[in-house]
Amino acid sequence: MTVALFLILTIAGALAATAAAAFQAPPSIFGGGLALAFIGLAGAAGATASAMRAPDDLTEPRTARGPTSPPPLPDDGRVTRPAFGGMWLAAIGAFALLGLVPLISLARKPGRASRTGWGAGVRLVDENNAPIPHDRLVAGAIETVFPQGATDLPEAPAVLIRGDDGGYRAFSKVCTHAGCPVALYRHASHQLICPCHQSIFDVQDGARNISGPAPRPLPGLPLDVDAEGYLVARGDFDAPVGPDDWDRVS
Amino acid sequence: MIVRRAAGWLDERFGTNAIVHVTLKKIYPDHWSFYLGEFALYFFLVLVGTGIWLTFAFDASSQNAYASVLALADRSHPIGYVIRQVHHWAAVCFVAAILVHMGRIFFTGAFRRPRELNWMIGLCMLMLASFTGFTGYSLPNDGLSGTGLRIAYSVALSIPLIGRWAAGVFVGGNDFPTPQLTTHLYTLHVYFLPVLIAALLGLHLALVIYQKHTQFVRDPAHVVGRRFWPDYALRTIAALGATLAVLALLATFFEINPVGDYGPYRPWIVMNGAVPDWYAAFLEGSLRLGPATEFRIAGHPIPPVFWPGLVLPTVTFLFLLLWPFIEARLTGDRAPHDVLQRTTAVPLRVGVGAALIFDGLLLTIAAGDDQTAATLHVRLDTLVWVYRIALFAGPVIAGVLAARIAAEMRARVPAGGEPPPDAVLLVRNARGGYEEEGPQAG
Amino acid sequence: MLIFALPVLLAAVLGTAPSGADIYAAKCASCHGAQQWGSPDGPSLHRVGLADVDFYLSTGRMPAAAPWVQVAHRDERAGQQLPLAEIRVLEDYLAPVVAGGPPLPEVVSGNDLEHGHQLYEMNCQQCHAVGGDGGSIGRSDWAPALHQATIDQVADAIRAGPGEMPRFGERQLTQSDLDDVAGYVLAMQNAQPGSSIPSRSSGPVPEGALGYLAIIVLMTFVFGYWRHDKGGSIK
Repeated sequence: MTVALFLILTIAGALAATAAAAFQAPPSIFGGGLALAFIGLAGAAGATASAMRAPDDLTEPRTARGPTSPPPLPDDGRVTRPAFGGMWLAAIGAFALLGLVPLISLARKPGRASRTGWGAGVRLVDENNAPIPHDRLVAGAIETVFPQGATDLPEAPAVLIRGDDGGYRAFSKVCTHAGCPVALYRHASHQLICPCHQSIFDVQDGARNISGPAPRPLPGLPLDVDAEGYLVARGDFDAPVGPDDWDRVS
Repeated sequence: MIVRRAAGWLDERFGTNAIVHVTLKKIYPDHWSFYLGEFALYFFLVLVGTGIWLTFAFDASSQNAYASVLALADRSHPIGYVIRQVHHWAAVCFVAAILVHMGRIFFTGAFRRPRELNWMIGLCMLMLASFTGFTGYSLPNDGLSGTGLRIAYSVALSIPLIGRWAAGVFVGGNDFPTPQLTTHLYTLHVYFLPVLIAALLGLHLALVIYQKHTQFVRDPAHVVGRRFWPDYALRTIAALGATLAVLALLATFFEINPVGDYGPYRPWIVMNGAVPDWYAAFLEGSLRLGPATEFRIAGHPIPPVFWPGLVLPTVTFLFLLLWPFIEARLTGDRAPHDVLQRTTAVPLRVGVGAALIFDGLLLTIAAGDDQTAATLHVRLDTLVWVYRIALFAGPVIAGVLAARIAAEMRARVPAGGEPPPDAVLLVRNARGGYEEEGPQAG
Repeated sequence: MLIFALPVLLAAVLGTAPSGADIYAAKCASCHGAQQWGSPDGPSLHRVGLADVDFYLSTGRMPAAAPWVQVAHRDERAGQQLPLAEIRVLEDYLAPVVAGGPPLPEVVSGNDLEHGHQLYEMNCQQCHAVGGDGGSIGRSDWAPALHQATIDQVADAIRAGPGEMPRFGERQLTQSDLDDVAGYVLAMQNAQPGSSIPSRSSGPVPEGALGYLAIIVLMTFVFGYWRHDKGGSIK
C-alpha cells in the first residue's frame, strides 16, 4: 500500500540523514535525507488520512456567544462611592505615569554622540592609519579617509576625491538621507552616489544633492597640506553629519 | 496499549480523560485554504526549534558574532550549515505564509464579528514576525544587514520629539553602531520578540478553538467538518511533514544569506544592490521613492525618511488593524458570522484588498528600481517618477477595477439557478442560428 | 570609409598582416580622428595611457558599433572583438600617442585573498557589488559584472579608470595591493558553491520569491489531497 511505501521512505530518509551526519557527508546529503524523510512522513500521514475515507460532514452545534447577563460584578455601592472611585482611578493613572519612568530611562535622550574627530590640523589617514601625502591620488581617484587618532567614530569617515581637474575635495561619507556610506564615485560626471537610495551629489558644487531623496548636501571638509606634505583638515565639517533628527535645531 | 496506560495514569491524578476526549472528538471544518495558518504555525515552530540550537553556536558579542556565523556557514560542518539554512528559509517562508493566510482571512470575510480581535492579534503577529526576522538576520553583524540597521536607526531617529529616545531603545545605546549592538539585538530576537509572538499565538489559537473555526458550508448553527482524531490529526501531521520537507529541500538546493561574501559590518563600507529581506523590501522601495523635502517645525527638522519609513507603514497597519470595523460601518453588516463568503461577495473588500496588494507589490518592486532602470535602459529619475505616480493612481485604478469585476462576478447567475427577470436569453434554433428570448428580446 | 578599409582588405587578401596604422585608419579613425585628437563622435586618445587602450580593446568595447553607445550599456559588448595580434599591433602603433597616462600594468594573481577581499570591499563593491555581480551606478548606467574579466583587464581598469570608474594609482594601490585584489576577483570567478549546493543566493529578493514558491508548492500539495478526498468536486 501507499502508506507502507511512504513509511519505508520515511525510515530510509531518517536513517540516511543520521548516517550522513555521522560520517560528515556534505550538507546536501544530510539535507536530502531529511527531505526524503519528511516527504515520507507527509505522504504516509496524508495517505492514511485519505485511505480512512472519514466523513467530512460531521456536525456539532455552534453555541451562540452573545452578550450574557447578568453583569459580572455585583453592584456594591460601598466600594464605588463616587469620590473614592475617582481617586482610585487617579491613583491608577499616577502609577501609569510612574511606569513610564523605567521605559524612558531605557535610553538616555542626549543620545546622539555627534563627534566627528575632525578639527584644524588633524591629519587625514587611511584605514591602516597611514597619513595621506598630497600626491597619493591620481586625477579621477577616490579614497576613504579618517581623522588621525579618531578612526572609529561613526561620523568620522570622509571621502577624499581628486577630480579630473586635479583638485582635491573631501566630504563626509555619511549620507544625509539615511546614513549609508556615499561610496560610488563617477569621476567623468563628477558625482558621488549613495547606493542605498540613489541620492546623487555634485562633487564640483560642494556635494550639493541634485537627485534622489537626500535632503541636504554632504558636509564638506576643508583641506590643506602641512609642512611635511601630508593632507590635513583645516577645520571640522561645515555642516552636521548624516541625517537630521528632531533635536538638531539649526 | 502503552498510550492507554499512560492516559490512565494521568487521569487518576489529574482527571484528564474528559478533556482529552472532548479535544480529540472535536469537529473542525475542512478546506484546503485552512491549512495556510498551519503552515505559518509550523514554520514558527521550526524557527523556535532551530533557533534554540543556534543559540548554542552563536556568539552574541558584536566582535565575535560574524566569526561565529561564518563557522556555521562552513559547509564542512553540515549539521550547523543545514540548521542555519533551514532557520533563515523558515523565516522567509514564515512571513510569506502569514501574508497568504491573512489574504485568505481577508477575502473570505473570516475577520467579521465576532472574530475582530483575532484578526488584530494576527496582524500584530505579522508585524512581530517581520521585526523578528529583521533583528535575526542582523545578528551576524555582516555588511549587508549592518547597512539595513543603519537605515533603520535613521528612521527611528526621524520620529519627532522622541526620535533620539526611540533610536536609543532600538540599538541599545547612544550612537550607531554601539559596542553592544549585537547583544542588544540578540536579546530582542531571542527573548523579547519570540515570547510576544508565542503569547499572541497561544491566544490566537485559543480564540479559534473557543469561537470555533469558520467554514464554507452554509450551516450557521453547526460546525461541519472532520473529527480531530484521527482524521484531522493525520492531515495536520501531513502538513507538518510537507512543511519540513520543503524547508529541507530549500536548505539542500538553495544557499540563502551567504554572509561570507558580505564581510563584517563597517560603517564606511557599502555594497551595490543592498536590499533587505523581501518582507522589508516595501520599506526600501518607499524610502527610494520618498521626497527629499525636510520640513521644520520651529527649527526642529522632520527628516524626509520619516514619511516613507514610519508614517506609511503605521497608517497602513492601523488601517488594516481597524478594517473589520471599517468594513462593518461601510457595508452596514454588523451581524455575527460563522460562515465564510465567496471572495466576490463584498466588492468593496475586493477593491480595497486589490489596492493594498498593488501598492505592496509596487513598493517591493521599487526596492530594485536602480537595477530595473539599468536593465530597461531608462533614466532612474524618470522611473522614480513613474513609480510615484503609480503609487497613488495605481491602487485607485486597481481597486475600482477589482471591485467592478467582483460585482459583475457576484451578479452572474450560478449553474442551475434562475436568471433575473429582465435577462435576454440566447437560444439556438433548429436551423443552427441564434434567437433571443425573454421579455426584453427583439 | 572604404578607402580606409582598402589597405586592410588588401593586406588580408595578400596575406600580409595589416599594420597598426592600417587598423587604426580602418577601425578607429572615423570616431577618434585621423591624428587621434578625437571628433564629435569620440574622445581624444592623447595621453590616455596604454592601460586604457588595452582595456577597451581587449574587452571588445572598442571598436564601437556606434559612437558613445556601448559604454553606457550593461555588460553588452556592442563593439567588435579584434584578434589579439591586431590588438598588439594597434597598441604598439598608439603607444607614443597615448603615453603620459597609466601604462600597461604588470599583474600576477596575489596570494593574500583576505587582503584582496578587504580591498575589494573598500574600493570596488560599492559599484561592482558582492561577488562581482555588477550593479547600477545611477541614471541608466551600469558597473559591469566581473565574472568574465581576465586578470589583465582587471588591472587595466583599476589603473586606467575607464568611463566613470575611478582611477587607482600606484601610490593608492601598490603593486602588491593590485595583485591581491586582482587575485580576489579571479577567486570570485572560480568560487564554486561546492559540489554540494548547486545554486547560490543572488540576493534577498530572489530568496523571497523562492519563499513564496515554497508556499505555493505546499498549497498545491494540500489542495491535491483535499480535492482527492472530496472526490474531485468542491461543495
